[in-house]
Amino acid sequence: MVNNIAMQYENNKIIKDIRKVDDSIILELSGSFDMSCSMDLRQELLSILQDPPKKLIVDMAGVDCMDSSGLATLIEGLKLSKKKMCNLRLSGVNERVRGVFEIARLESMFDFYDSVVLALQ
Amino acid sequence: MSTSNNITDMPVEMEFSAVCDEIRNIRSATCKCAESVGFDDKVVAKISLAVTEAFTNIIRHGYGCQKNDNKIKVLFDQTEGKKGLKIVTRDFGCQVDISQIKSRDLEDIRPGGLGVHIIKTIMDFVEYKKAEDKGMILTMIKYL
Repeated sequence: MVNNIAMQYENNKIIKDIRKVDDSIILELSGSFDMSCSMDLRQELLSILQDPPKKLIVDMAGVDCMDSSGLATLIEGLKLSKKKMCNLRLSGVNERVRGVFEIARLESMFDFYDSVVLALQ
Repeated sequence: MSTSNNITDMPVEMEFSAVCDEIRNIRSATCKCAESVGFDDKVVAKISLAVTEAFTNIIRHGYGCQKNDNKIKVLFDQTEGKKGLKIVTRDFGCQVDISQIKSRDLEDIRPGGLGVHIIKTIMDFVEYKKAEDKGMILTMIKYL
């Protein structure tokens, strides 16, 4: 069941939408995930994890590229989510973005899912 | 951003403001130059990532919190001999001890710590030099 707490982030460079589905929160990203917007996402992750959901799904299907600033932000979010007993999952990561995880040899740190639907299961 | 040539007519030198809003421009310029050399899409994306990392490292470490009108010059050129792309970035910020420029231990990850590792993994040649007056010169080469 989708709770209608969706928020639109028209002026945000990276966060497109946040919505709650049962006991999970889906954070939908869009565009280029780099130094110009990584702080925006960091603040949002910290905010969400103050009252952590059971699962936090970062939907990256709309992310066309990512640099180390983006990756470091996800790692920080992952570390904090583990401390808070929240399961952080990544969905819809395209091949180009996945390559950044591979180059950094950090692919194994994250749980990847092809879609939000699969990540919710 | 300013440019002295048509972007695919290398060598081409471009000047960028050292601000995050220029990242998309340096990425775009890098992709066009790499494509013109003949790299496939996957390698073009990797070269673009390496140059973006170099660019953001200059903003973060070279210029730090300086609020002046900081510039980054970038030269794109084809390599001599074996075919490839040479990219030279030149900044006018702090000079860094070259021995301290190294890939961070991947266990010690925090924002900004992965850039050098990514650059060195992607590119075939990476060299940092102190410029004569101020700033750093970074030369990166990727062979076809």
